[in-house]
Formats: sequence, structure tokens, C-alpha cells
Amino acid sequence: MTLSKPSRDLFEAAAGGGRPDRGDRLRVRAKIDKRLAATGAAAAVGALATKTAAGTAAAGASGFGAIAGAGIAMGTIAKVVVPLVVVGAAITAGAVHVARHPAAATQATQAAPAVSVSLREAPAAAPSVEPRAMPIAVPVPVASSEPVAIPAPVAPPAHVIIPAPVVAAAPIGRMPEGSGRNETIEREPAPPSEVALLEGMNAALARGDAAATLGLASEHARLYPGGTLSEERDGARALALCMVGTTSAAREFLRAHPSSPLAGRLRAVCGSRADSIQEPPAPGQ
Amino acid sequence: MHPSSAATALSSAEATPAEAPGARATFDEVYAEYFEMVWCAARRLGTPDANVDDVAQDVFLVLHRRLADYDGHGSLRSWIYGIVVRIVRDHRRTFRRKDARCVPLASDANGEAPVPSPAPAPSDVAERNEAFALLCALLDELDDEKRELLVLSELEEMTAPEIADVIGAPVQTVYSRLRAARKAFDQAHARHRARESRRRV
Repeated sequence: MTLSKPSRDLFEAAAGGGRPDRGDRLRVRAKIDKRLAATGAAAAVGALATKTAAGTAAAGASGFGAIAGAGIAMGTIAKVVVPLVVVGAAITAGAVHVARHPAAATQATQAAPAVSVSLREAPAAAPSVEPRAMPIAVPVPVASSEPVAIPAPVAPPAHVIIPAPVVAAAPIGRMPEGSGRNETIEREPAPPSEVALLEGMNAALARGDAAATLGLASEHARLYPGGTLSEERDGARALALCMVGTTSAAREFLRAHPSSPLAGRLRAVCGSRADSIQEPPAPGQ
Repeated sequence: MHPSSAATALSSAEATPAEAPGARATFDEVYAEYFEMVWCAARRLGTPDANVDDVAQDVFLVLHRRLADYDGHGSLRSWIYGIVVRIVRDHRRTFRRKDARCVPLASDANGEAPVPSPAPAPSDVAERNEAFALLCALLDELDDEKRELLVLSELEEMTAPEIADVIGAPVQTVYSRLRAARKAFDQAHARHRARESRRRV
């Protein structure tokens, strides 16, 4: 038996209703990324930040497997854990450790095999919104097991764990758009490292904060105009602009970096505006 | 990849993922392609509006974990739909009947006139949303199993074998339960129309 005619008409009329809008798509995606970061599968968030020299990292990573499940969105990116760098607490926290070898951070690679950055969820979203935001902990494993806490500037979800030599090379003591709280650590004032800035962008993206992402992207562009992570910065900027409704940066990024690991995520986030993003490159270019 | 193929890649974002031979759909591709389906399915299956985000998140977290397990047997859509059905069932215990579903629709049971949507929308969108709201209200009168079957059959337009695949029941069972579900829906719809006509008099 089939439905009565009025009922069939109702189903037909209702089929187009109750659709999600772009805000729904972006909001849920941000929540998912946050939970993935919290559960140890860096997924798309990690794909944004990671530029890895797999060859050099592989030696340090032997014996540690890639994080299960994270490979789905990061297929082209090596995920390694460098035991020398990892503080025990970071492992027990279930965080993902992504070894980075940005060529520019030569000081870091001289001092330690890699910078290990763990992404995990902080209980609060952002210092400006939630006063109980977690600080970024910077343990200095060689000198002391006691972590030194500095206030989270813009990126509370990112726990950046950096070995002592790298702290000097890539301090994150000062960040733009600070939370307003006094810093609890006195370090030589220095601009934030590329990695720290990118982590900030990731965290801001994960909580759907386009404005903070764009601010950090500008800061990165100012400090590191030709930086190693420029592609990631431009991708983060394009994502943030998509979130506020502008896809031109995404188109530009995809033209410049068609095979970027970020391409998939850009399509996912900006896809609902595919009408404008489908435009072929301008003729003559 | 040649730069000019970037636009091609973008334009295929709505196409079936993993078109390249041997390539698996990435999580991003699945999200881009199936977010709307998951979202609609969650609502259609009776998730209150306040819980749709949670259900959609859980579905994609499961997908993230299990995408590698998808064996390519059957359609990806059915496989994902099966996950949605199970997640909604899991969440259902936490739903409260009084939670707002499928706004905008005034509570029909109280005999009040439907409240017009506050935000002016193009008339066809408003009509579709109104029809959707009425449909949800009628589906709410049915039990969960009937609701699932009707949504899969009438809204998702799945065949009985596909539905059997999604909900994990024998095809014959699907047929017989579907008959009962359609009958129950027709009765609920007829009652609603009778109330409406009485109100107009």
C-alpha cells in the first residue's frame, strides 16, 4: 500500500524544508574539529598546521606509530612522534604529537630533532569569552619537570610543548591580541614563532573565530612575509574569510596551491558557495 | 596537479567523493558531500532542533573513526544513513518530548493556528518549511520505528532493500512494517486535516 494522495503531497512539499544553512555547516564543523583535536585525532586541524619533513623526522619517530585515525584527512602528511621531545604528561593526555621540521626553524632542528606540538581541547573556548581558559604550558624537560605557564594569548586549545632549546629559538612569550592578563613568565621578549602563530590560527579556526584567525594571519604575514608556513597561513586566512562569506581568497589560494593538503578542507568549508568558487581561472592566466 | 584543474576539483566537490580510481573519500570530502544529508536526516528522524548539532557531530566523529572501514559494498550514502539512524536512536533517550522540533509550527494539539515564521522568507522556502514542520509534527505522533521507515521511504526515497540494509532488518519485515507505518501516517494526517477544517468553519 502506498500513502494517500494528500500524504504523498505533504512529503513532497516537505522534502525541501528543514535544510541546514552555511552557518550550520561551519558551526558543526568547528565543533567536530575541536572534538577531534581533543580526542587525539588531529584530522583537518592538524592538516592545516603541519609541514613536515618526513625523512628527517622518521629516524626520531621509529617505534612510534602514526596516530590511528588521523590519517584520513592527513594522508599526505607524515605524522610522527619524536620520543626525545615528548614529555610524558603529553602522551598520557592523549594528545597528538606532530613533528615539524619547518626549514626556517633551523635553530630548533639543530637543538632538538623536532618541535612537538600537541593539540588538545581546553575546557574553555577563548580567553575573551571564557575566563577559565587554559594556559599554554611550556615544560622545560631538560632543566626541570615543572611546567612554566604563560597565559594563553589567542589560542587556548593549543598546548605547545617545546623542549628547552627550542623555547629560546622560538619563544611564544608575546603574542598579539593578548588576553589582558599579566604574563606569569618573564622571558626575553620576542615575536611569536611561526609555529605558535599557526597554532593560534588553528585554534581560532577550530572554535569558529574568524576574526582572531585573520588577526594572527596578518601578524604572521607581517613577521614572516616569506615564512616557511606561508602557505598554511594563506590557507587559514582563506578559511576564515570563507567563514565570513568571502570566497575570493579561497579561489586564489586554490589556484596558487591546487594540491595543498588544505584544498579538501577549503572545499568542505567553502563548498556551499560552490557557485562562486567554481569559476574557472580568469582567461589569459 | 595543473593549476587550471583546481577549479575542476572544486566544481566536483558536490560529486561523489573518491572518484579517482582506488582513492578513498577523505573525511573532508565526506563532510562536504554529506553534511546536508546528515543534518536533514537527523531532523527528519525526530531530533529536536536543540540536539541536531550534537547528533551531526557524533555522526561525523563516528565517520571519522570508521571511514577506513567502509568496504565499498553498498552505497556510501546508505552506510552513512545507517550511522545516522543508530546515533539518533542512541540520542533519543535524552530527547524530551517537549523539546522544540521542526519549528516553526505552533502546537497543533492545542488547536492554535500555526505561528508564521518571524523572518520573512521567500514564499517557496516558507512553504516548504511549513510543510516540513507539519510533517514533523505528524511524524511525532508515530512511534520511532514507523517514523524511521517513512522517512527512509518517502523522504529519502530509498527502496525496501535499501531500507533493510540501513536498519538491519529483513526486506519482508520492512515491507510489512512500512504498510503499517503508511497507514498510521495517513490516519494522523486525516485527523489533522479534520481538525483544520473544523477550525475554519
